[in-house]
Amino acid sequence: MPEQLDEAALKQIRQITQELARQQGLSDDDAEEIGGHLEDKLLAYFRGETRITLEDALLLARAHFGDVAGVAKQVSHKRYLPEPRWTRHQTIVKTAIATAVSTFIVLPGALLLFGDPPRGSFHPMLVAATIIFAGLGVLESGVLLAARADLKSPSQRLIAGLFIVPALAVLVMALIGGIGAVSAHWDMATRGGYAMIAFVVLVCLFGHAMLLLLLSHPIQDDSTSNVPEQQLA
Amino acid sequence: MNWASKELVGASTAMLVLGVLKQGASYGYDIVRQINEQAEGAFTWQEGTIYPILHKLEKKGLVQCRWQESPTGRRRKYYSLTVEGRAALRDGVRQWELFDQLMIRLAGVNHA
Repeated sequence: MPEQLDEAALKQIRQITQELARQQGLSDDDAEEIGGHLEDKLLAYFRGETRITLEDALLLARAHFGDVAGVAKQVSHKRYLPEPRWTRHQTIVKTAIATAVSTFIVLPGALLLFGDPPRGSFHPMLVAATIIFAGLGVLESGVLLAARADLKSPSQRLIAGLFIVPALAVLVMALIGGIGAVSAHWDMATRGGYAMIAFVVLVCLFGHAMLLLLLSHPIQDDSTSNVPEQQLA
Repeated sequence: MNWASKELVGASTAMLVLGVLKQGASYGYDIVRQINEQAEGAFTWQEGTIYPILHKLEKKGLVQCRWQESPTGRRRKYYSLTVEGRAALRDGVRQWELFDQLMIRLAGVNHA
């Protein structure tokens, strides 16, 4: 058992007391007195004069164990749960992209295929297409906003929803107008074309309904992997 | 297991310190060690709290201090009772005795 502390221990004690003195504005005498107390305490532990209390022992045990939370996380049963293929956020992003692509490409394409060429002033087809693009712009803004939104935040979900819901109404109205525009020459349309428009409408509505469903049911954030970092490395 | 309430210990800190110093001059760490040892688990002082008490007693003139070099060469601040401190301790002990008697009479404390 040491009769005196070594220089390394004394240096650490001096650092502690200097820091205390600086923080609390202690005089040199007071700092020296407190430093002496710490030295006495350390020596008493080393010599076995002071018995370690339960609280001291717990502190030591915990300090020596290391990162308790980190280890607990690694040995937790959660590590054995299968990793979800897609996180909720990824699902929303992918659904949003698929929905956006389908509406932006297929819908105008269908209208062009079955619409009249423009004649004179504003053609109903042009009006319908403009309304559709405006609606789609708002709609996809909402969808993409939702995809980036913090799903735990009701306010952010509400904002995203405020983009989506009215845009859906605009989209439905525009589709009705578009069908009306092409129906003047419906004789040129085939059953296949009509089925294509109907299919596009259904796909759009289904995709956005799915997004609304995802947004309206907040679940625990699963974007954080439950696989320990060491396993991922 | 500590059984003495904080209030009770808090009201008696100065007396406890003066009582220890009655035995002879001592320094902060040793004063706390003696008190905790004598308390036998009734309470455990947080060691740092001794210094504000000692400095307060010093301001009141009940204790005096001097720096003294230990055999290992380290300086220690030793505290000892002044005449006023001895008188205050006597007065405090008397008050405790009277209070003890009062407790026996009023609260039915039985030492037997």
